[in-house]
Amino acid sequence: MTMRSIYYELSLPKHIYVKDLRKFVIGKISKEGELIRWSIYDIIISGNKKILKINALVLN
Amino acid sequence: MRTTPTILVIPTGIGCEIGGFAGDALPAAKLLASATGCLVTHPNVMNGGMLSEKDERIFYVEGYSLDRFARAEIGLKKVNQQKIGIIFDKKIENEILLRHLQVADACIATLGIDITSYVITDEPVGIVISDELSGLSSGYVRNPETLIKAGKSLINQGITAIAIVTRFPDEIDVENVNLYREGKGIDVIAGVEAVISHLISKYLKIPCAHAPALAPIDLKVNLDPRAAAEEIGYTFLPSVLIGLSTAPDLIDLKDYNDKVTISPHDIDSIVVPSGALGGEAVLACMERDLNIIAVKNEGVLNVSDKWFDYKKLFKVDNYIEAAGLLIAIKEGINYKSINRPLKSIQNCT
Repeated sequence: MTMRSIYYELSLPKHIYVKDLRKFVIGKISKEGELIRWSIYDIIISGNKKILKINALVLN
Repeated sequence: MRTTPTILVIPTGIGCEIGGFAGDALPAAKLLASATGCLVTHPNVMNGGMLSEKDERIFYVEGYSLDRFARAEIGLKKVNQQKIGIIFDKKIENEILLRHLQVADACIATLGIDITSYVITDEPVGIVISDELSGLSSGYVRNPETLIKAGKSLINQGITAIAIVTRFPDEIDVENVNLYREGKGIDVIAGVEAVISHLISKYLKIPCAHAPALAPIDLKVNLDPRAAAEEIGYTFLPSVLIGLSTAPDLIDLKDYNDKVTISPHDIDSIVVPSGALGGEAVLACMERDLNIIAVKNEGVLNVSDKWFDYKKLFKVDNYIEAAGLLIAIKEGINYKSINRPLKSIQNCT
């Protein structure tokens, strides 16, 4: 079992509702392993895209 | 008595002005518990090193389990007393271990807490403090399996809650530690502490909390009062044991036949620093259409309401104002009726 700290940048779809945001993020980052702890630590605008910056601790 | 069960989150390791130090959000938690009659919160809010307090209205739930509660996966069941076991990291030196064992004995003798046994991990846990993200406290453990194995052996002996004590490296960034002690920086070890307790909660599904074992540090003259609770003893274990002693049982809602004291469906609101809206508990509460009370409590994050289009988000300037808002919610008073200017009703035909 190996624990890793990963940093993920997710481009946010334009028409996503805030109520669907958690599932959207988990759907993307859970591919990296078993999630121990995660959060969105920053949001930036790049061009016309909204980018979520995520830190997650995962186990493989 | 009418209550409005509420979650209070102040994320660990993000340097909040209130709650970024040593249990310095505990007075705010007591205020909110008084306002709501029922507050669910986590060790970072309640643990003040040597100091903590029991409050019948406060439910002490570790962060990973708190996220599960916010996602409506578990309920909380009040208990009279938990039977606590302690996991000690194999890397802890004998003298420091003895200090911790004496703290456990003191909590039994003086506070009447039920602490029955301890185990030492087979291997060193291997704490790694990471500074990859400038300004945020983070890290990981090299040997998660040894912690899980130790926890399972305690559960096999009948314990119902786990305190974890791991040895943190002495080579912690001294400059940042000093800034923290002066009230100007973040708690550099807090992020890994949260990772450890999240790991145990995820795999063992019982109440748990973590205390770091550290070598004694020099006396500091210009110590910030918010960090002082960590300077008055040899260990940080007492607050963990006090919190766990009456922490609620975690009841899986998928297949439970047990009565819960608080169901996640009883929750109306979550109170959170206004720049920390990107945590899982908050997003889960938005998913469930609950009130988000965003308190001005500066930290290093800036994931604020400007990024979220969410109608039930209330911004307040401090925890006193949050308490007033929660009383209004509890008593069924429209908070807009108390604010000025007061708008007329709108024609929407």
